[in-house]
Amino acid sequence: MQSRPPRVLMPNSVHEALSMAAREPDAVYWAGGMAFKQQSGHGAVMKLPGTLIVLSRIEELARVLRTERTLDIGSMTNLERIAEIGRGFLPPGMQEAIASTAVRPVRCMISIGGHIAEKKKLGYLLPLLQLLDAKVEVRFLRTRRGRVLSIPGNRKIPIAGFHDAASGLPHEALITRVSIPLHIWNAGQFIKVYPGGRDNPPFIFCGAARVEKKVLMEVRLAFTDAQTGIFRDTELEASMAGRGLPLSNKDLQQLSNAVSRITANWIQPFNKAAAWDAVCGFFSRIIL
Amino acid sequence: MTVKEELSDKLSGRALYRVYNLKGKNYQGRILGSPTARGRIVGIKLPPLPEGICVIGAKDIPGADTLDIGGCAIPIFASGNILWEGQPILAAAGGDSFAVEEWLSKVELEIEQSADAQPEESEFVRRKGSPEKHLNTAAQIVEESLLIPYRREPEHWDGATCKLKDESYHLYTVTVWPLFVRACAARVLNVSPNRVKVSGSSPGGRHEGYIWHSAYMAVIAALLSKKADEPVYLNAGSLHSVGPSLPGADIKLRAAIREDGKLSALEGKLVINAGALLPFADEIIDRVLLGLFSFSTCLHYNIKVIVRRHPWYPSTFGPAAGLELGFPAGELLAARIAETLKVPVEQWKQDSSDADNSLMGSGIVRPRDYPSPALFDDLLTRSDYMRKSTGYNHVFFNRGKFKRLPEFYHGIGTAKAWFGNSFISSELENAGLSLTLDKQGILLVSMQSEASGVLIDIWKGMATDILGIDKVLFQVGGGRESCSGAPVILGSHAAVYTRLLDMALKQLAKQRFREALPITIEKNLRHGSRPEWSRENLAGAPFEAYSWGMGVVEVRLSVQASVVESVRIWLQIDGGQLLSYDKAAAEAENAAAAALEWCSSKPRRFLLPLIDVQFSNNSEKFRPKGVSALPWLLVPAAYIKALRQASGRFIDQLPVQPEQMRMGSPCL
Amino acid sequence: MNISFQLNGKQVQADIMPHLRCTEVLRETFHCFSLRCRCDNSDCGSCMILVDKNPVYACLMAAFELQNHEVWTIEGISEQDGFHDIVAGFHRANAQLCIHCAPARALATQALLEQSLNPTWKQLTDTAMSVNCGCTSLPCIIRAITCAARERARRQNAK
Repeated sequence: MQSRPPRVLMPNSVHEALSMAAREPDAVYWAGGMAFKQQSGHGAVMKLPGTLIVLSRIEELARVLRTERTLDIGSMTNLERIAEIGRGFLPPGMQEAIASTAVRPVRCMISIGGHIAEKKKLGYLLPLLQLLDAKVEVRFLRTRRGRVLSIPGNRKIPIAGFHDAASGLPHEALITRVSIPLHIWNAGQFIKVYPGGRDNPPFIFCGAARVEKKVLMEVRLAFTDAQTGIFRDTELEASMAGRGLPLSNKDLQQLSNAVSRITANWIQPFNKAAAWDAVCGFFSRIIL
Repeated sequence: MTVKEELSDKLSGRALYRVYNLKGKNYQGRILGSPTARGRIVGIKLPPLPEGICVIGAKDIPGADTLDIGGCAIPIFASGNILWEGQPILAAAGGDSFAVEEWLSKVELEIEQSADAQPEESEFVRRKGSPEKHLNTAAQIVEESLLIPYRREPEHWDGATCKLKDESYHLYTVTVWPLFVRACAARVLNVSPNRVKVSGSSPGGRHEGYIWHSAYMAVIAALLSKKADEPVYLNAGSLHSVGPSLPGADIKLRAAIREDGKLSALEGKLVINAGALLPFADEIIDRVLLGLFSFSTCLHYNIKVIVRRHPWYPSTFGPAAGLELGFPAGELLAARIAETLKVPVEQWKQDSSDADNSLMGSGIVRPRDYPSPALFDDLLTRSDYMRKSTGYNHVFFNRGKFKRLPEFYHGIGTAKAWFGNSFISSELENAGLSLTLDKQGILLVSMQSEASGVLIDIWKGMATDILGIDKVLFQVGGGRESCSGAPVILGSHAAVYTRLLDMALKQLAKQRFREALPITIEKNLRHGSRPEWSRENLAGAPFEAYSWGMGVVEVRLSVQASVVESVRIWLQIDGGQLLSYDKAAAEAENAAAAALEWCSSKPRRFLLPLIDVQFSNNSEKFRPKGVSALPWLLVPAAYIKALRQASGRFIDQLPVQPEQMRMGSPCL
Repeated sequence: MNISFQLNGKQVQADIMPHLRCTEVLRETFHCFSLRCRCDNSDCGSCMILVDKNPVYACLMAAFELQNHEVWTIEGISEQDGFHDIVAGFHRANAQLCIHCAPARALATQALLEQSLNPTWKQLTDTAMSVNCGCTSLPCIIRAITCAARERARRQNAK
């Protein structure tokens, strides 16, 4: 970060952006720029990285496409637009998750691509996107024998392992699209609370379930204390499938043990209690 | 020039605070604060000064190098020892704010850090009767504690502008004490007060405790302007180390209860945590103690008071001038005693008081306009308090017996409080106003403070009612030169001036056809003929006029997330004759929301309480009463009682932390 | 860097440093003094502007981001007929706003009214929360926005 004026590059296509990034190893992509803006300091000028590749002219990155099974969102689409377009068909819990991210003027500045790519701070949407099996399309330039070619390649990476997978990609790799599967879940919940007060990071719980005739066909639960990562227990989720609702005392005991296991390494004790409260709340809600 | 405060002007952005950088190029001023809290400045290495930037420090002050207020001398710039983190060391101004910021960032400060970081302490005792004897022979001892941390004001400061013309300084700042700012600036600049003019804008919803901070900013702006010989806008908003703080308190109480359930003695330790300096410390401590004693009569007490001065930004007084620290502690103790004795808290307070029903526990003279309990019946009916309280109490006492947890726990609490407006130390002199009726029939009002458009409209109405003159003939002029003070009341200054104007208009009505025009009438509001306030004995009449109120707060606590999900607030306030019902209602509602924000530790933007405010009038005269301070006493006290009922846990800290509620949550 | 954009309905351009804050550009270069600069980090919301009809905080925008966008400040909005609905709504709700936040409140209301004249509770709270100022309570602001929506709907129905 510096106070000097940055070099602003404005590519017109993804390929042009990739080529620019390959040429300029220090350049950073600028979608909504929120990650940099939050650290831009005070005063008349913003402290920004030296070279910016601004993606606002690339139309492809702002497109939203809905098919029968998926919602394909261009990485430059801001969260407010996703909420607006997706009214009525976004998976349950998604609207709440978007609304809880920030107030509307800030949501208008946060791009979904930037939200996912941010490494320093966990994006509040990530646990839910992970539950929903969302995938990220990343484009990059292919290499042959250590040489960067101008032939673009792409990969679709599940959100769950995105940051690990992304570290193996070339530095010019760019998130171009996020695909969210639709119409799988008929119940869902997103909770963001601050059990340790506003000075501490929030606790986030996401749940998604498919319930048919009071039987839990499929369920997924994700927790995060926004510090140590996103936690899921796939074994628990698999074992809960097929259980009748409301859950029996034995099921509840199993759930309670699983939650204790998941939260065992969490730093703040209040988040552990919040996790159990949230799970209880989720299961009492899906009965209704 | 009057400030345009019409709603359409405000909404369209045409109305501007005059401290703002208006059209035309002003120099931009910035402050360099100390990076450490305690230490000694050994050296300052300035980078080469570019053209168009000027810099000032402690050596460039022509007059007094401190602001003297409320028994404190606040240094304008640190020269030797550093008292607090962020204490201004240098200020610079230039045409380009970026260049000024950049230049200041290159200044190298050599500071010898002080090893001793212990806060400075002063200690004294307030004592009456024989509390030890009563504590030893008490039927029951009840203990209570409350921690209210010191806090920085969340609001951003607006800075100040100085325009220098013909060796006269025109200062624009956000203050209700313009003549105090003028006096400070004249002392520091070493010029006659006549060469300094101050235009103060209203703080706009923020409480008026910024008594010295606006003067501080204005004086630095004036010094920069003098050095640069240009108009300077000093922006301190982006410098987070600059801004007043509010003192906190750590209160521990032990009460002796007699066999008949009455309070016989009180022992306590009161630690006031303040910034490096605490102007008006005596007045603030008085009010903390008065708040503490407001719940019951107590003729035997021993309170040890410790004022701890930390190396933080100097403090100012809070929204209820200190009462907001002591009052909740007293109310909490009353609630704890009542719960121990298994009686409703209001009934215990009533029974525990003396025959004359005095609420002023330590022997303070009871004011004449003490309201009757019937006044608040309406509030209890409106909030359906009795029915709800009984129901919630039933849940409270039987919560272990439920087979299935409810989705929410509810709680409801009440509080009854008073707030007193009073004159403070003589250094600020008394409030004054002069009224002149000239030969053209123009009625000119001159006073020390500036009035808002709403207030002037009210005054025009009063003049028309009393004198029968046309509204267009009523004019308000600024700065009454004969008074060098400022409003000297801790509370609403608008009510003080309205009372003065009312008195002056009535006198003018008698004189206007007897004497030749022009007629000038001067009115000063001074300390009345009440028994003098004795600080040592906590006895006498500390205030000029009292406003009274009662509040009910209802909360709903989510069992799932252990967070307060909804809050409803009902307030009944006796604020005397209201100048403007709309304004008073908006102020009270806003104060209630702000008080809730404070005590619930949730940012205001996430709080959506339903607030219902009603006013009663218990007196015919205009009296300097304030309505916006009462919610700061009523809401926190009622809120913690309601939370106690909902969460099953005693709250011993304000703001209430979510963790505290969780620990009391029946989920665990 | 040379940027051109539409400001209050007029095409404008300026040669500026790309990393200047928008607040600085709009106030100093284009004299939009309705933008208040208080916090520089989106805490207060007093610097709100409309970019392509969406409310955003100008203090969080760098100058180069204005390029080719349509920007409205309250100076432009207050010239339009619909502004009177907002004033009437706030007046009716007895909102005692301060000079700091009032323009941003009006802009946030305008942005909402362009979205819907029958706003949901969520939209109302979201709009009220987008400006953070201690001068007026949130319930009062929500009342004011509701009144403004009613005024606008009544005026449009009368047409």
